[in-house]
Amino acid sequence: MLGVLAAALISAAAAGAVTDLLTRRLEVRLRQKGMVGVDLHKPGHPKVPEGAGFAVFAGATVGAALLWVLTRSAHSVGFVGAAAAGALIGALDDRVDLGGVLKPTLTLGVAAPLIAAGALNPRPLLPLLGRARLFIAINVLVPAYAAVVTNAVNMYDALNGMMPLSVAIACGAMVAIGALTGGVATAQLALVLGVALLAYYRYNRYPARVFSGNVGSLSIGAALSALPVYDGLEAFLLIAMLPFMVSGFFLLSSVGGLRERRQIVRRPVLVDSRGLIRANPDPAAPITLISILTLDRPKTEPEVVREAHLLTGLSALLAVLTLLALTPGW
Amino acid sequence: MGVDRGLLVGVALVLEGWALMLAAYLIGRVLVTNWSAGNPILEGLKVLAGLAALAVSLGGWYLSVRAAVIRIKLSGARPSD
Repeated sequence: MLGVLAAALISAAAAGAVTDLLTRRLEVRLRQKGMVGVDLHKPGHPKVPEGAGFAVFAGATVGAALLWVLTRSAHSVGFVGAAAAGALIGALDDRVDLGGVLKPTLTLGVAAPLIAAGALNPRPLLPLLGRARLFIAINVLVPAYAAVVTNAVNMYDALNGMMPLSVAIACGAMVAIGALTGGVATAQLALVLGVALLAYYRYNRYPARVFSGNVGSLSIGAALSALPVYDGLEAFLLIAMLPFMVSGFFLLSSVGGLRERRQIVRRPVLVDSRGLIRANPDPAAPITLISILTLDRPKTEPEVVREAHLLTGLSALLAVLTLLALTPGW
Repeated sequence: MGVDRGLLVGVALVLEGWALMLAAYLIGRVLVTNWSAGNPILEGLKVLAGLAALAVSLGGWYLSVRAAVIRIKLSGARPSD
């Protein structure tokens, strides 16, 4: 047990250190190469280096590789493969703009490395049901689940620091759930990814020095989706990610399907000259988590992000409580 | 400064989403417990029943939140603190 914990801590520390170092490098290099994005939520619309989320993928990959060296556990392979697939799709999207339909469709492929590595657990643990038996259906459900999680993280990357800390909070829940259920793979990888995200958050929080880019958010989403697969704990990750689901689901529902941001005519939120964010008063405007949080009064960007983190914390707590109080057979 | 209705709707949304997710699992449990695994048709039906329950839950969730959002929008936003 001590060996398992030590391996996880060493791997997580390595992931954090690599992420920190690489983010600092990328901040300079991306700006030099003119790879910048416009921060629309700030007065003056400053340009920020975009694509630095790749550092989280690199850091988590180093951490997972170290975990493999220390424990020889096969789950690291599927985790890195899924994250790499997400990074590849994201890098492609950053270059050629895959569009609102092709991008989510491609993310179905995020699960391919997990299937190839034999990481799928046909007996997922479900709230109220216990261990289900889905020996055939699991091969269809996991790709759909991985695509949902990957795209939800991608769509959640809207304000400074909102995505990385929220994903880190969800990782915290998965560390606890993995540890409680004996899901060593989930707990170890969640710790690795969570520490990498915390290292990255220092640079992405308000006022952001770097943006993640699609390469970052899709690889982080893919890595997150891979965490619980080996131990069949996907249902609990989905609960810990409820604010992500709210954001993605409500946007898709209110715009009537898969759309790229630029295809959405009515904006969900408006930003005034002081940088205050408020929901678009037009009743027909799309509904997103940010527009819900700013319904009652305009808020500053850090205030909205803090509230989004609070909601993720609540969801993480619900995920753990669901396991402890409402799940048989673990 | 009163209660922040935006944050309140956010919290309600999360709690409602959680409750609906559990309701979908509960419906799944009532419908499909003890069905044999390994049979493609039965497994397919099992998944379809679960997905149908999930779709109904999500639909209800969306409509209830949309109604709340529009009600607050129509009542007007307050100035910032």
